[in-house]
Amino acid sequence: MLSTRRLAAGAALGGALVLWIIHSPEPASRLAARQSSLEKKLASEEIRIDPAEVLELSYNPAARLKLLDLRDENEYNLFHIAGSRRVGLEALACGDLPPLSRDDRVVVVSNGEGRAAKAWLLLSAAGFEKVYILAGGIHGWLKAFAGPGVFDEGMPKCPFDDCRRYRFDAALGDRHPAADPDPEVLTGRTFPRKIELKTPRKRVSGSCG
Amino acid sequence: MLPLDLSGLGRAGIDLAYVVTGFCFGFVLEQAGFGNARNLAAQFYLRDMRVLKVMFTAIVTAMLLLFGADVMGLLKPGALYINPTHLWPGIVGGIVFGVGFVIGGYCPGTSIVSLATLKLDGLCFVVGMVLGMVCFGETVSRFRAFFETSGNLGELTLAQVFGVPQGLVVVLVVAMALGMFWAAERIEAYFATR
Repeated sequence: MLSTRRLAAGAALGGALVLWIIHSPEPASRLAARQSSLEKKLASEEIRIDPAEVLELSYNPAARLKLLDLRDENEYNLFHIAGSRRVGLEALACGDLPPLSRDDRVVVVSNGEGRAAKAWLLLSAAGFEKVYILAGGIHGWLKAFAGPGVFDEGMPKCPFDDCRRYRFDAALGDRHPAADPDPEVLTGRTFPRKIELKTPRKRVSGSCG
Repeated sequence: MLPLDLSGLGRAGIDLAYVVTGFCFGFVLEQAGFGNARNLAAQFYLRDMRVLKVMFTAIVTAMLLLFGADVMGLLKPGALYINPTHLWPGIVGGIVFGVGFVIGGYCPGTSIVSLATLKLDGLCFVVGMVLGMVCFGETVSRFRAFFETSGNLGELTLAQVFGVPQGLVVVLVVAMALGMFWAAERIEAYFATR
Protein backbone atom coordinates (compact mmCIF):
# COMPACT_ATOMS: atom_id res chain seq x y z
CA MET A 1 0.00 0.00 0.00
CA LEU A 2 1.41 3.35 -1.03
CA SER A 3 1.64 5.97 1.71
CA THR A 4 0.13 9.44 1.21
CA ARG A 5 3.64 10.91 1.20
CA ARG A 6 4.80 8.70 -1.62
CA LEU A 7 1.66 9.43 -3.59
CA ALA A 8 2.18 13.18 -3.16
CA ALA A 9 5.86 12.90 -4.13
CA GLY A 10 4.97 10.84 -7.20
CA ALA A 11 2.23 13.30 -8.19
CA ALA A 12 4.59 16.28 -7.86
CA LEU A 13 7.36 14.66 -9.88
CA GLY A 14 4.96 13.19 -12.45
CA GLY A 15 3.14 16.52 -12.79
CA ALA A 16 6.44 18.35 -13.33
CA LEU A 17 7.47 15.86 -16.02
CA VAL A 18 4.14 16.19 -17.84
CA LEU A 19 4.32 20.01 -17.72
CA TRP A 20 7.88 19.92 -19.06
CA ILE A 21 6.81 17.71 -21.97
CA ILE A 22 3.82 19.84 -23.01
CA HIS A 23 5.45 23.22 -22.34
CA SER A 24 5.96 25.32 -25.49
CA PRO A 25 7.99 28.45 -24.81
CA GLU A 26 7.99 29.76 -28.41
CA PRO A 27 5.98 32.94 -28.99
CA ALA A 28 4.23 31.29 -31.95
CA SER A 29 2.78 28.63 -29.62
CA ARG A 30 1.82 31.23 -27.02
CA LEU A 31 0.22 33.31 -29.72
CA ALA A 32 -2.15 30.48 -30.61
CA ALA A 33 -3.57 30.58 -27.08
CA ARG A 34 -4.16 34.35 -27.06
CA GLN A 35 -4.72 35.06 -30.73
CA SER A 36 -8.34 36.23 -30.54
CA SER A 37 -7.86 38.68 -27.66
CA LEU A 38 -4.65 40.07 -29.13
CA GLU A 39 -6.18 40.50 -32.58
CA LYS A 40 -8.89 42.71 -31.09
CA LYS A 41 -6.21 44.96 -29.64
CA LEU A 42 -4.26 44.84 -32.88
CA ALA A 43 -7.25 46.27 -34.72
CA SER A 44 -7.35 49.33 -32.45
CA GLU A 45 -5.62 52.59 -33.25
CA GLU A 46 -4.14 52.82 -29.75
CA ILE A 47 -1.16 50.67 -30.68
CA ARG A 48 -0.28 52.67 -33.81
CA ILE A 49 1.93 55.65 -33.18
CA ASP A 50 2.56 58.53 -35.50
CA PRO A 51 6.09 58.94 -36.96
CA ALA A 52 6.22 62.38 -35.31
CA GLU A 53 5.58 60.85 -31.89
CA VAL A 54 8.29 58.23 -32.52
CA LEU A 55 10.75 60.99 -33.39
CA GLU A 56 9.76 62.93 -30.30
CA LEU A 57 10.15 59.87 -28.06
CA SER A 58 13.54 59.05 -29.58
CA TYR A 59 14.87 62.22 -27.94
CA ASN A 60 13.49 61.26 -24.53
CA PRO A 61 15.63 58.65 -22.71
CA ALA A 62 12.81 58.06 -20.22
CA ALA A 63 10.73 56.60 -23.07
CA ARG A 64 13.18 53.66 -23.40
CA LEU A 65 12.35 53.48 -27.09
CA LYS A 66 13.50 50.45 -29.09
CA LEU A 67 12.86 50.31 -32.83
CA LEU A 68 12.68 46.86 -34.43
CA ASP A 69 12.78 46.80 -38.21
CA LEU A 70 11.13 43.75 -39.75
CA ARG A 71 12.05 44.41 -43.38
CA ASP A 72 14.44 42.42 -45.56
CA GLU A 73 18.14 43.06 -45.24
CA ASN A 74 18.40 44.84 -48.59
CA GLU A 75 15.50 47.16 -47.70
CA TYR A 76 17.08 47.83 -44.31
CA ASN A 77 20.44 48.59 -45.94
CA LEU A 78 18.74 50.91 -48.40
CA PHE A 79 17.28 53.04 -45.64
CA HIS A 80 16.48 52.65 -41.97
CA ILE A 81 15.60 54.87 -39.06
CA ALA A 82 18.65 55.77 -36.97
CA GLY A 83 18.94 53.52 -33.96
CA SER A 84 16.66 50.82 -35.31
CA ARG A 85 17.66 47.17 -35.24
CA ARG A 86 16.75 44.64 -37.89
CA VAL A 87 15.08 41.42 -36.77
CA GLY A 88 13.53 38.64 -38.82
CA LEU A 89 9.91 37.65 -38.36
CA GLU A 90 10.94 33.98 -38.44
CA ALA A 91 13.42 34.54 -35.62
CA LEU A 92 10.73 36.18 -33.48
CA ALA A 93 8.36 33.28 -34.14
CA CYS A 94 11.03 30.82 -32.94
CA GLY A 95 11.57 32.72 -29.73
CA ASP A 96 14.86 34.25 -30.82
CA LEU A 97 14.03 37.60 -29.28
CA PRO A 98 16.38 40.60 -29.30
CA PRO A 99 17.64 41.77 -25.90
CA LEU A 100 14.67 43.77 -24.63
CA SER A 101 13.52 44.73 -21.18
CA ARG A 102 9.85 44.53 -20.20
CA ASP A 103 10.03 48.28 -19.52
CA ASP A 104 11.18 49.14 -23.06
CA ARG A 105 8.71 50.70 -25.45
CA VAL A 106 9.11 48.68 -28.60
CA VAL A 107 8.05 50.11 -31.95
CA VAL A 108 7.90 47.58 -34.78
CA VAL A 109 8.54 48.84 -38.27
CA SER A 110 7.93 47.40 -41.73
CA ASN A 111 7.34 48.98 -45.14
CA GLY A 112 3.64 49.34 -44.40
CA GLU A 113 2.13 47.59 -41.41
CA GLY A 114 1.89 43.93 -42.49
CA ARG A 115 5.00 42.38 -41.02
CA ALA A 116 4.93 44.87 -38.16
CA ALA A 117 1.46 43.62 -37.18
CA LYS A 118 2.69 40.01 -37.11
CA ALA A 119 5.69 41.05 -35.01
CA TRP A 120 3.36 42.99 -32.68
CA LEU A 121 1.34 39.80 -32.14
CA LEU A 122 4.42 37.68 -31.45
CA LEU A 123 6.00 40.18 -29.04
CA SER A 124 2.70 40.74 -27.22
CA ALA A 125 2.23 36.98 -26.91
CA ALA A 126 5.77 36.76 -25.51
CA GLY A 127 4.76 39.10 -22.70
CA PHE A 128 5.89 42.51 -23.91
CA GLU A 129 3.14 44.96 -23.06
CA LYS A 130 4.54 48.20 -24.47
CA VAL A 131 4.67 47.26 -28.13
CA TYR A 132 3.53 49.65 -30.84
CA ILE A 133 3.37 49.76 -34.62
CA LEU A 134 4.84 52.66 -36.55
CA ALA A 135 1.72 54.05 -38.24
CA GLY A 136 2.15 53.72 -41.99
CA GLY A 137 5.52 51.99 -41.53
CA ILE A 138 8.61 53.25 -43.32
CA HIS A 139 6.30 54.65 -46.01
CA GLY A 140 4.63 56.81 -43.38
CA TRP A 141 8.00 57.87 -41.99
CA LEU A 142 9.33 58.86 -45.40
CA LYS A 143 6.15 60.77 -46.23
CA ALA A 144 6.56 62.67 -42.97
CA PHE A 145 10.28 63.42 -43.08
CA ALA A 146 11.93 62.62 -46.44
CA GLY A 147 10.53 65.32 -48.65
CA PRO A 148 9.50 64.77 -52.28
CA GLY A 149 11.15 62.26 -54.61
CA VAL A 150 11.82 59.43 -52.18
CA PHE A 151 8.39 57.92 -51.62
CA ASP A 152 7.10 56.73 -54.98
CA GLU A 153 3.30 56.53 -55.24
CA GLY A 154 3.70 54.93 -58.66
CA MET A 155 5.30 51.73 -57.40
CA PRO A 156 2.92 48.75 -57.06
CA LYS A 157 0.99 48.51 -53.82
CA CYS A 158 0.52 45.12 -52.16
CA PRO A 159 -1.61 43.99 -49.16
CA PHE A 160 -1.02 46.05 -46.01
CA ASP A 161 1.18 48.30 -48.16
CA ASP A 162 4.13 46.07 -47.18
CA CYS A 163 6.00 46.11 -50.51
CA ARG A 164 8.72 48.70 -50.94
CA ARG A 165 7.51 51.96 -52.48
CA TYR A 166 10.57 54.18 -52.08
CA ARG A 167 13.71 54.77 -54.10
CA PHE A 168 17.24 55.64 -53.07
CA ASP A 169 20.21 55.97 -55.41
CA ALA A 170 22.40 53.91 -53.08
CA ALA A 171 22.18 51.85 -49.90
CA LEU A 172 22.30 54.73 -47.46
CA GLY A 173 21.16 52.98 -44.29
CA ASP A 174 20.82 55.66 -41.64
CA ARG A 175 22.97 58.22 -43.52
CA HIS A 176 20.00 59.78 -45.28
CA PRO A 177 18.78 62.96 -43.52
CA ALA A 178 15.33 61.41 -43.08
CA ALA A 179 16.85 58.61 -40.99
CA ASP A 180 17.54 61.00 -38.13
CA PRO A 181 15.44 64.11 -38.68
CA ASP A 182 16.11 67.30 -36.77
CA PRO A 183 13.52 67.47 -33.96
CA GLU A 184 12.89 71.05 -35.03
CA VAL A 185 10.70 69.62 -37.80
CA LEU A 186 8.14 68.82 -35.11
CA THR A 187 7.68 72.48 -34.25
CA GLY A 188 4.09 73.42 -34.92
CA ARG A 189 3.19 69.92 -36.06
CA THR A 190 0.18 68.34 -34.39
CA PHE A 191 -0.23 64.60 -34.09
CA PRO A 192 -2.25 62.20 -31.93
CA ARG A 193 -0.19 61.21 -28.88
CA LYS A 194 -0.63 57.61 -27.78
CA ILE A 195 2.10 57.30 -25.15
CA GLU A 196 1.92 59.07 -21.84
CA LEU A 197 5.20 58.95 -20.00
CA LYS A 198 4.84 58.46 -16.28
CA THR A 199 7.52 58.45 -13.63
CA PRO A 200 8.15 54.75 -13.02
CA ARG A 201 7.46 53.48 -9.54
CA LYS A 202 10.14 51.18 -8.25
CA ARG A 203 8.81 47.68 -7.86
CA VAL A 204 9.29 46.06 -4.51
CA SER A 205 9.84 42.41 -3.90
CA GLY A 206 8.15 40.32 -1.28
CA SER A 207 9.72 38.85 1.81
CA CYS A 208 10.31 35.25 2.69
CA GLY A 209 7.67 35.08 5.37
CA MET B 1 -6.35 35.12 -17.06
CA LEU B 2 -3.95 35.37 -14.09
CA PRO B 3 -3.06 37.50 -12.25
CA LEU B 4 -6.68 38.32 -11.42
CA ASP B 5 -7.81 41.86 -12.08
CA LEU B 6 -9.10 43.09 -8.72
CA SER B 7 -9.88 46.62 -9.87
CA GLY B 8 -13.60 45.75 -9.95
CA LEU B 9 -13.53 45.31 -6.17
CA GLY B 10 -12.76 48.98 -5.57
CA ARG B 11 -10.14 50.35 -3.18
CA ALA B 12 -11.77 48.91 -0.07
CA GLY B 13 -12.26 45.52 -1.72
CA ILE B 14 -8.62 45.33 -2.78
CA ASP B 15 -7.48 46.27 0.74
CA LEU B 16 -9.77 43.57 2.12
CA ALA B 17 -8.22 41.04 -0.30
CA TYR B 18 -4.77 41.96 1.08
CA VAL B 19 -6.00 41.47 4.65
CA VAL B 20 -7.60 38.10 3.87
CA THR B 21 -4.48 36.89 2.00
CA GLY B 22 -2.23 38.06 4.83
CA PHE B 23 -4.46 36.40 7.44
CA CYS B 24 -4.42 33.10 5.53
CA PHE B 25 -0.63 33.27 5.14
CA GLY B 26 -0.14 33.95 8.85
CA PHE B 27 -2.64 31.22 9.75
CA VAL B 28 -0.73 28.65 7.70
CA LEU B 29 2.58 29.71 9.25
CA GLU B 30 1.08 29.38 12.74
CA GLN B 31 -0.41 25.98 11.92
CA ALA B 32 3.01 24.83 10.68
CA GLY B 33 4.40 25.74 14.10
CA PHE B 34 6.32 28.74 12.82
CA GLY B 35 5.02 31.00 15.57
CA ASN B 36 7.31 29.21 18.02
CA ALA B 37 10.97 30.20 18.04
CA ARG B 38 12.03 26.79 19.41
CA ASN B 39 10.62 25.03 16.34
CA LEU B 40 12.37 27.48 14.04
CA ALA B 41 15.73 27.48 15.81
CA ALA B 42 15.74 23.67 15.91
CA GLN B 43 16.31 23.80 12.15
CA PHE B 44 19.82 25.11 12.77
CA TYR B 45 20.58 22.26 15.21
CA LEU B 46 19.21 19.72 12.67
CA ARG B 47 16.76 18.31 15.25
CA ASP B 48 13.59 19.55 13.53
CA MET B 49 13.68 20.19 9.79
CA ARG B 50 10.14 21.52 9.46
CA VAL B 51 11.33 24.92 8.17
CA LEU B 52 13.06 23.27 5.24
CA LYS B 53 10.11 20.95 4.61
CA VAL B 54 7.41 23.65 4.79
CA MET B 55 9.39 26.18 2.74
CA PHE B 56 10.31 23.72 0.00
CA THR B 57 6.76 22.35 -0.08
CA ALA B 58 5.58 25.94 -0.61
CA ILE B 59 8.20 26.51 -3.32
CA VAL B 60 7.31 23.31 -5.17
CA THR B 61 3.55 23.92 -4.88
CA ALA B 62 3.77 27.53 -6.07
CA MET B 63 6.22 26.63 -8.84
CA LEU B 64 4.04 23.80 -10.19
CA LEU B 65 0.87 25.91 -10.06
CA LEU B 66 2.55 28.89 -11.75
CA PHE B 67 4.24 26.78 -14.39
CA GLY B 68 1.04 24.80 -14.94
CA ALA B 69 -0.94 28.04 -15.36
CA ASP B 70 1.67 29.23 -17.84
CA VAL B 71 1.56 25.98 -19.82
CA MET B 72 -2.25 26.15 -19.97
CA GLY B 73 -2.15 29.76 -21.14
CA LEU B 74 -3.82 31.02 -17.97
CA LEU B 75 -0.92 33.23 -16.87
CA LYS B 76 -0.54 36.58 -18.56
CA PRO B 77 2.95 36.54 -20.11
CA GLY B 78 5.30 39.01 -18.51
CA ALA B 79 3.03 39.51 -15.50
CA LEU B 80 5.33 37.57 -13.21
CA TYR B 81 7.81 39.89 -11.58
CA ILE B 82 11.33 38.51 -11.56
CA ASN B 83 13.31 40.10 -8.78
CA PRO B 84 16.65 41.28 -10.23
CA THR B 85 19.66 39.33 -8.99
CA HIS B 86 22.11 41.43 -7.00
CA LEU B 87 24.73 38.78 -6.28
CA TRP B 88 26.92 40.29 -3.57
CA PRO B 89 24.15 42.14 -1.72
CA GLY B 90 22.24 38.84 -1.82
CA ILE B 91 25.14 36.98 -0.19
CA VAL B 92 25.66 39.65 2.48
CA GLY B 93 21.91 39.90 3.11
CA GLY B 94 21.63 36.12 3.36
CA ILE B 95 24.37 35.97 6.00
CA VAL B 96 22.80 38.80 8.02
CA PHE B 97 19.38 37.17 7.70
CA GLY B 98 20.67 33.74 8.72
CA VAL B 99 22.59 35.06 11.72
CA GLY B 100 19.54 37.08 12.82
CA PHE B 101 17.34 34.01 12.35
CA VAL B 102 19.45 31.71 14.52
CA ILE B 103 20.00 34.34 17.23
CA GLY B 104 16.43 35.67 17.36
CA GLY B 105 14.65 32.47 16.46
CA TYR B 106 12.43 34.16 13.87
CA CYS B 107 12.43 35.55 10.38
CA PRO B 108 10.38 38.69 9.63
CA GLY B 109 7.08 37.01 8.77
CA THR B 110 7.20 34.44 11.57
CA SER B 111 7.99 37.14 14.13
CA ILE B 112 4.73 38.87 13.17
CA VAL B 113 2.92 35.53 13.54
CA SER B 114 4.50 35.10 16.95
CA LEU B 115 3.48 38.63 17.96
CA ALA B 116 -0.07 37.89 16.81
CA THR B 117 -0.20 35.10 19.39
CA LEU B 118 1.09 37.59 22.01
CA LYS B 119 4.50 35.99 22.53
CA LEU B 120 6.99 38.24 24.29
CA ASP B 121 9.98 37.05 22.25
CA GLY B 122 8.00 37.80 19.09
CA LEU B 123 7.37 41.34 20.33
CA CYS B 124 11.09 41.84 21.11
CA PHE B 125 12.06 40.55 17.66
CA VAL B 126 9.59 42.86 15.91
CA VAL B 127 10.80 45.88 17.91
CA GLY B 128 14.41 45.01 17.03
CA MET B 129 13.45 44.53 13.39
CA VAL B 130 11.73 47.93 13.22
CA LEU B 131 14.75 49.60 14.84
CA GLY B 132 17.03 47.86 12.35
CA MET B 133 14.85 49.03 9.46
CA VAL B 134 15.01 52.62 10.72
CA CYS B 135 18.82 52.45 11.11
CA PHE B 136 19.17 50.93 7.65
CA GLY B 137 16.85 53.50 6.10
CA GLU B 138 18.79 56.36 7.66
CA THR B 139 22.20 55.10 6.52
CA VAL B 140 21.43 53.37 3.22
CA SER B 141 22.66 56.32 1.15
CA ARG B 142 26.23 55.50 2.28
CA PHE B 143 26.21 52.08 0.69
CA ARG B 144 23.56 52.54 -1.99
CA ALA B 145 26.13 51.85 -4.72
CA PHE B 146 26.86 48.46 -3.22
CA PHE B 147 23.18 47.50 -3.11
CA GLU B 148 22.26 48.78 -6.53
CA THR B 149 25.23 47.97 -8.73
CA SER B 150 27.40 45.36 -7.03
CA GLY B 151 26.91 42.03 -8.83
CA ASN B 152 23.79 43.33 -10.58
CA LEU B 153 22.96 40.50 -12.98
CA GLY B 154 19.47 41.74 -13.89
CA GLU B 155 16.37 39.58 -14.10
CA LEU B 156 17.95 36.16 -14.08
CA THR B 157 16.34 32.73 -13.88
CA LEU B 158 17.89 29.30 -13.33
CA ALA B 159 16.91 28.31 -16.87
CA GLN B 160 18.91 31.25 -18.24
CA VAL B 161 21.94 30.56 -16.01
CA PHE B 162 22.19 26.90 -16.99
CA GLY B 163 20.90 27.31 -20.54
CA VAL B 164 18.27 24.61 -20.12
CA PRO B 165 14.48 24.62 -20.70
CA GLN B 166 12.25 25.99 -17.94
CA GLY B 167 10.45 22.66 -17.74
CA LEU B 168 13.66 20.81 -16.94
CA VAL B 169 14.41 23.29 -14.13
CA VAL B 170 10.94 22.61 -12.69
CA VAL B 171 11.54 18.83 -12.75
CA LEU B 172 15.01 19.22 -11.19
CA VAL B 173 13.75 21.51 -8.41
CA VAL B 174 10.96 19.02 -7.56
CA ALA B 175 13.50 16.16 -7.56
CA MET B 176 15.87 18.21 -5.40
CA ALA B 177 13.07 19.00 -2.91
CA LEU B 178 12.06 15.34 -2.68
CA GLY B 179 15.69 14.34 -2.13
CA MET B 180 16.02 16.97 0.59
CA PHE B 181 12.82 15.77 2.31
CA TRP B 182 14.17 12.23 2.31
CA ALA B 183 17.53 13.36 3.70
CA ALA B 184 15.85 15.66 6.25
CA GLU B 185 13.89 12.75 7.74
CA ARG B 186 17.09 10.79 8.22
CA ILE B 187 18.97 13.76 9.66
CA GLU B 188 16.13 14.41 12.13
CA ALA B 189 16.13 10.77 13.22
CA TYR B 190 19.91 10.86 13.69
CA PHE B 191 20.09 14.11 15.70
CA ALA B 192 16.91 13.58 17.73
CA THR B 193 18.69 10.94 19.83
CA ARG B 194 21.80 13.08 20.49
